[in-house]
Amino acid sequence: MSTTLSSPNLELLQEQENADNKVFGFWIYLMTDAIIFGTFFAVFVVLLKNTTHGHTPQSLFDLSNAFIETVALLTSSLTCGFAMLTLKQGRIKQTILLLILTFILGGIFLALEIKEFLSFIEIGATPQSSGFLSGFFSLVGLHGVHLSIGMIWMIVMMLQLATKGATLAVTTRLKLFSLFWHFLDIIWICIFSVVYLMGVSL
Amino acid sequence: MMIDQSQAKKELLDYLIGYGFSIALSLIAFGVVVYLKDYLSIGVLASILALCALVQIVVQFVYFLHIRKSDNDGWNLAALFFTGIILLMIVGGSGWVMFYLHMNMMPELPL
Repeated sequence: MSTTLSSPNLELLQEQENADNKVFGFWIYLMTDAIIFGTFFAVFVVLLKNTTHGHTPQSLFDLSNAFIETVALLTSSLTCGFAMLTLKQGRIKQTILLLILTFILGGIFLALEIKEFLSFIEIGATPQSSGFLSGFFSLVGLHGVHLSIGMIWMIVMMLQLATKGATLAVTTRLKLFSLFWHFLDIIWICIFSVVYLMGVSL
Repeated sequence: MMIDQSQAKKELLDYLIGYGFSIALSLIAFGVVVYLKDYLSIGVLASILALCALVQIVVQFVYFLHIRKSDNDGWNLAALFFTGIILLMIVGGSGWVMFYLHMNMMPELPL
């Protein structure tokens, strides 16, 4: 580094470091969230066979529905990544457009999930009817709640981008959001592998 | 915060590669269960699914989350490994204990 730093430069450096610390702090939060999801997974796997002679995974799960959900979520992760790229290039309009696309894809996922939950409840496969269904609704529901929070976050970010522009604070928040969204994608990969695909195969 | 064009192109490619891998691995996982479920033993099927999921998680971490050793002096990577160990204990440990508990229980009575 150069021997002398003018004070505005120093301030900028300090701000950048603060932003980096925020990202790392959020990363730690995501890791604790992963542990929470892990315990829900453990509960689901332990309770998987406790169907009380009622609804089994084979009789309930519709794999084509789960596959469409998977494609929607993976694609939303891609558009979210693109939004971060356009933000780095300073093309804010495109960033907002890509965030809207991400929002729509997330919405499709959430709508399919709610539709699935309602169709289960309609035929009497409610969370309180067996251990397996308790585990299923809490694990998949927890992911759905995270996703809903992510979508609210997205709306807030779009408004901030439109009003404040790409300031360091807004850019940092968007970076945290993209971490969150990609993280939810990873959780969904575990859910469709363990809950849907393994559930149907057993 | 401007970045040069070649860097942007590289990152764009990163996302596309990650997306391609993710879709392909999901297709394999779903395809194996839908079309080959009746021909494969549960052990083989579970291994394929676990492998697909594991590779896909690594792909997501590398291409989407851009986890690298150089960032943050590797502290985020260290946190990730620590979380992995905790998860292994919680999920693996629960499965292990409950599996033996089930084995020692009375068989389920028919209704």
